[in-house]
Amino acid sequence: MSPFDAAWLGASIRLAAPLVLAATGETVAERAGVINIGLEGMMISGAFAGYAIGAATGDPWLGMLGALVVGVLVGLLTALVTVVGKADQIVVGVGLNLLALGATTFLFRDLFSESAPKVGPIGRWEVPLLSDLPVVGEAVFHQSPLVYLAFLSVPVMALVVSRTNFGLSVRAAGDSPSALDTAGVRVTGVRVAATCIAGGLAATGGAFLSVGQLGMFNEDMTSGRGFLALAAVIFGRWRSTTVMIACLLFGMVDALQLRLQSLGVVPRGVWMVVVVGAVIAAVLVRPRRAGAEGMVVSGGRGAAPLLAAVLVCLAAGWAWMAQPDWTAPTQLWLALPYLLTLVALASLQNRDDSPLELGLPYSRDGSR
Amino acid sequence: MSAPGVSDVPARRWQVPSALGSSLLLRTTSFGVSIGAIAVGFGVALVLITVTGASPAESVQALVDGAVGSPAATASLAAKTVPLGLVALGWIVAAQARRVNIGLEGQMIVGGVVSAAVGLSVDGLPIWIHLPLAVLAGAVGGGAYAAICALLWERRGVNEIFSALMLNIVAVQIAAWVIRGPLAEGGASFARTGELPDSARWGRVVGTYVFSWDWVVLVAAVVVVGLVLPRTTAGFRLRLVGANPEAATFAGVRTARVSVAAFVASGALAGLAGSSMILAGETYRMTDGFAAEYGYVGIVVALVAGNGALAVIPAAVFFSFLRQGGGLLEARVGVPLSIVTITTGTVIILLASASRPVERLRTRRAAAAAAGTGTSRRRSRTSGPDDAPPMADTAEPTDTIVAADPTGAGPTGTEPSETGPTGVGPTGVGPTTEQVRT
Repeated sequence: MSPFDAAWLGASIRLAAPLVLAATGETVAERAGVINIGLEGMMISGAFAGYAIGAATGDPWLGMLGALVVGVLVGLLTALVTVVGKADQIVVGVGLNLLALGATTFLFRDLFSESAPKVGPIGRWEVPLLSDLPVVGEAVFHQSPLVYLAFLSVPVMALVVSRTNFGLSVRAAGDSPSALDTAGVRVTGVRVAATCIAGGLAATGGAFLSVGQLGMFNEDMTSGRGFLALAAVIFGRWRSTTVMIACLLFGMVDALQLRLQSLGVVPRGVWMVVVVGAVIAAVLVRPRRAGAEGMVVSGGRGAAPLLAAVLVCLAAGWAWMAQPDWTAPTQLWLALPYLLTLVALASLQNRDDSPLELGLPYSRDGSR
Repeated sequence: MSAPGVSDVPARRWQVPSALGSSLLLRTTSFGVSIGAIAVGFGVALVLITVTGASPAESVQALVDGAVGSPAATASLAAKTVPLGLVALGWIVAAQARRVNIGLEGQMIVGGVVSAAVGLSVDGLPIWIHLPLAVLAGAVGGGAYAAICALLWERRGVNEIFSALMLNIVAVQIAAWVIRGPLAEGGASFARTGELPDSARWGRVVGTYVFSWDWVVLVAAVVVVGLVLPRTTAGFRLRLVGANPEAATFAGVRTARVSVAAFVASGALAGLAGSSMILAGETYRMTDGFAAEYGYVGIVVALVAGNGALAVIPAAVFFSFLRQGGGLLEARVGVPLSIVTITTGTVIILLASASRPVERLRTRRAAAAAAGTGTSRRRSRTSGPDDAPPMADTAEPTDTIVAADPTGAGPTGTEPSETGPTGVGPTGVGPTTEQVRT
């Protein structure tokens, strides 16, 4: 049987949804020049806040809303330290991850040690008409409404970033904060707002896991999804749509890995997909001429992606022919999104689309 | 350089050391700030403890008893100090060259995996060959893993923050796979490796208490990083690259190469930490989560130590104290162990927040001291190490120039020396252009 069926597609979309939320917010923050390593911490905060508020009120939707508010507050706190206080964004992110993991575990044990009620989960919703489509209808269009909201956030944020004044300020804050300052816009304010958006969306993504899907909170339940979302932002090269595609890709890998666990052996179809994927990647990664600013960049390029693709094809072909009953370790699939991001980072050096002032604090006198 | 703008920024700007480097990396936080941050962290913890209804006094008593209440507890505390200290030293070595090594956790895990592999798969060697081999394997594993980041940065311009974060998670998966696959103990009910042979174990110092002879490695590393490195050419280059890459380039230092070396050395130290956690571990096995986030906690240790190698030991002892005592806190008073994680996270954030005000204060004092000489100047928007030219492009042709004499005054040697970051003091080539502001 093939692991690539409609149910797999549905699972991919469901698994991608929290990533999409977190990554979309992070895209906005990074476009404004703020690296938010604490994304994982924001997600777990949201997961807990959503659950706790949902348990207190009995309404998972209120939990989601509460998570959004808590996320914005966490984002605000982070921004106060890193943007206003100009503290190192990386180190603060590490601290936030530890703090949020510790605090949620602590509070969960303290508040829900005797009994942890089940909240929600939020039921599934059939999209009218579309859910009647053959094959994919049931799998793709019969999901939690949160899934659709998550994917809806992508065009919304994309439009905000590309078409509104605020979006222009965000992009300027990331690429040329001094120009923004000259234009009379407060760089700090824009960056704080962007970080709050990141916090709010990441927390909503976390709450999606707790009250949206499981109806429960577990310690460390985001289990690295914040880092996965961070990877998606890099993989998607700071553009909302490509970031979403990256999230979907990671969701597909995750869903595939879950299915393969039950299948035991790796079906041949998987190897075929690996080969096709490698060829597509090699074509897409084809080197382009130097950037618009006329920056001439030295360094080897050209044959490397092609060579890598050929190697992957050979390996996949070998696995296909020689190892019919090889059970790929789960860990390989779990690590795959990160490895893909690494490869993407390494091969896209000449098309570095990261915001120019990413991770750097801004002040008028140029001190850092 | 001209006015700031998009076109100014070199395309491979991640190649510029310190693109993300901050004041936290080089300048030492003062002793008082560290103590203050810890005090506030403790305060937060006490408030939380009170909120849960437990008695703060009892909790503190439990924490102290858990950490130093019995010989076994004290020994565990001492044992935890070794990996924490080694990781912190790894951060410091990278920080001296202004590299942010966020990948310590991954490098530590890989070091542990390689060390365990050598310990378990080789048999029949005498201990004086097998143990050093396994320890060395850990260092090589951690260093090689760090080299992936360093070389991706050097060759391909990949931001090492991103690559290190990715590799951290990949490392967790590698360890999970090794524990369940190649090194799994046959017939065990849960995932773990077999027990190390006697020849690959660090001996216990006293009886069967966990504290082992691997403390020698920590002391040796502290001595090398804190006492030997500052007195060698390699150490001088390291700090020069960190303090002022532009000056380093002009002095003929191969900046990119030094940065890569610093990163790899940093990873090797993390790898040693991982090796200690296996070869001197409680069970002499590798299990899931053996790294216990030491790769991140080690960063706090380094920050509390103000990036000073000698101060790492007391700082590591303090955080081992927290982690060791936290166990009894949970068992006796019912306060979750995660209170320790909360305290740690709070201390990191506080120290990071304090770094800039502290720096400001110092700068102001230095400026006041320098006012007499009338040399105070303003940094232009695009000057300073942050905007140094891409290293790979400029480093090669200049290496025939004789490196700067460590004892001679550098181009900025007339600046007041107390403004320079510690360690760069004697050379006088500190980043004084960015220190003194109006």
